[in-house]
Amino acid sequence: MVNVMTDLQKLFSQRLSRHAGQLLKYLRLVFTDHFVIALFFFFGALGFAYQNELKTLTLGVWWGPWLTMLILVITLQMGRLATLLEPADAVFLLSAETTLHQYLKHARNYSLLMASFIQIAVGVVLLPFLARGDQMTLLEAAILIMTQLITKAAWMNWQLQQGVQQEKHSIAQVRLVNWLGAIVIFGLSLFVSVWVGLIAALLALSASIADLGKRWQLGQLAWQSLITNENGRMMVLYRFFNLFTDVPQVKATVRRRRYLDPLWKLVIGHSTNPYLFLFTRGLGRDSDTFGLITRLTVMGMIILIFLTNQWASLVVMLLAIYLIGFQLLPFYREYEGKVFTHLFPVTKGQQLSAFKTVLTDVLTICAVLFVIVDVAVNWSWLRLLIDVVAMAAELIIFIGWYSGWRLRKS
Amino acid sequence: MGIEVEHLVGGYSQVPVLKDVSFSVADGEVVGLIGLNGAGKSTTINHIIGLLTPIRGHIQLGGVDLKTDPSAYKQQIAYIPELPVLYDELTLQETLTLTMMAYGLDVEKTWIRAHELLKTFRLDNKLNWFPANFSKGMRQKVMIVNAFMTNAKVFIIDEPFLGLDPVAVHDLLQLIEEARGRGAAVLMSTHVLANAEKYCDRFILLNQGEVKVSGTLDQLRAAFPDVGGSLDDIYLALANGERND
Repeated sequence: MVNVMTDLQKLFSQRLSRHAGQLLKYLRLVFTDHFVIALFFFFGALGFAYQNELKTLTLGVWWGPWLTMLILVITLQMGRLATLLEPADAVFLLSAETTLHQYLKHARNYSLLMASFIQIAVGVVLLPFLARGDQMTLLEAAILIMTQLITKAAWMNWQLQQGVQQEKHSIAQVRLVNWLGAIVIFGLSLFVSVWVGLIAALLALSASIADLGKRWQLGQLAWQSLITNENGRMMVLYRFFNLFTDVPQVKATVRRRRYLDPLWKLVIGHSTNPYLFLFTRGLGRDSDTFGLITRLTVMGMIILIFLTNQWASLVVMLLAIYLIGFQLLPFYREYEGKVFTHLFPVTKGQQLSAFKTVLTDVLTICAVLFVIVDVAVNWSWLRLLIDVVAMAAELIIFIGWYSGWRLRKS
Repeated sequence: MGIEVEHLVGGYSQVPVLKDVSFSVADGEVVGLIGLNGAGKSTTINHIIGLLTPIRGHIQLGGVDLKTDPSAYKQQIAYIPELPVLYDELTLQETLTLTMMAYGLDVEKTWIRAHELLKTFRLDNKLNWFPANFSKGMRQKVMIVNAFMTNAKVFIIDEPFLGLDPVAVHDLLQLIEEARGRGAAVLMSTHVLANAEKYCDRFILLNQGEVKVSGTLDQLRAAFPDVGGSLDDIYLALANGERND
């Protein structure tokens, strides 16, 4: 038994170092030189603006405490409990359930430390505003930040408590406590006295500690919710990293998008080509590809709004259409891994023609949107004519010749 | 007619898994493909449905060769894979519609049949759900509905009973009986020997990529005279024989 205990204590530090290594790997990819420089300028500009705003602020504005409360309450929700539990733990560690308290306490402490960094950072940024907008003394401000940290500790315990109790609170219940409790505590701090707020936070913390102490003794863990929460937390991180690099854990999610249903009917018409059926739904519901097309289209449209030079606009439009089309090409092979794709008594020709139909529809919609934006911003008949001719030519070349050549080649 | 496999040599790479496998399944016949893990059952099935190209040998379905007329060949097959395979982006309704389109079935008539089957397998209220999120058993049921709503001439069923509830197993066996009654050829691989013994007309025992024995239960008993009467006994004798080799 003693052995299991010590091993489990080591388990968290093992998990943590692996977790840290993984985060570091991705953070290196996120904070590339260019991105750091961009962030530097961004935060520099933000700080400068903040400073200027503060100068013009009248002392002790009426909305000062309200804004402070809003910021503190939102900040309090940041930093979740990181248990670093894995789905397999529910099987392998089930028998060691009662000895997992130490593990979870380590997890709670680590999570609280991480969350405290966020809380303190926001508190420090807020300091000048507290001084001017809320007319607090430094002592009062320090106590407010302390209150924030203590409340966070209580909240972290409350989150852990969800994992060690068998009766499950509804999400609404949990949210209510998280937000309403915070509003009450900071309301006391800001509208009554920071000391009263501090006492309220301390009461919340001791209540959470006492409650947790009672639960530990029962010894059972809510594995399902612990693991779901941990997976959810990791997914948030992975999704963020996925904006910068490929994260294998992020699988494309499928969304129903019922509002697109009429569009399928329009595209498919009376065709009986099963691939047309498959490609339309696939493109519309697969969040990866759908997101890619919409992002590129919206980005192209935004750029076009700001470009007045006709030839620059034209180049952007041509390039955007090419990019969208090019990114779509791999979708042709999306279903090669499915056995039924090979079983269907359907010819390669049907597959290719269905794909080209879908490609034509998507690119035409994008092209029309680009032309509309371009001529809406800089109206002239000539511009419309040139845009339409250029787009049509590109679509014919890309779909009629280039796509077929590319798909046959690969 | 039905399924004809002649001197099939094949596998996933140049190293053959199947060594000269020959058997046939006649129309209106249910044949059990039986063997230990790794005996070559799934490989045989993958060859029949045309996922793998034979190194040597021929496979014909209803007298049609895959090489000469792939479309007509595949048109005859209804396949239930060992693990359910579904399109993530299609709802249950769309999954079935896609199959109907692919096989050129009469959509209205087939839907009547599909609705019956969905009701049998208690899926009729889930038409707008994504089956990719279903449980293993329910996904398996989708595959069964998908296969049996067609009027296929050849059914290839790979280990269909795992994960199914007893009611569904019973319903599936009844569907197989019905298909046999219509004159379809059914090839079913399974480890559930009790079901196989009751419902299959003949058996093919595969061992290390070769047909060890084949025939009706009586013929198998004659081939392994001292081991006992049930398919279970014969199967265990075969397994032990292999261990002692």
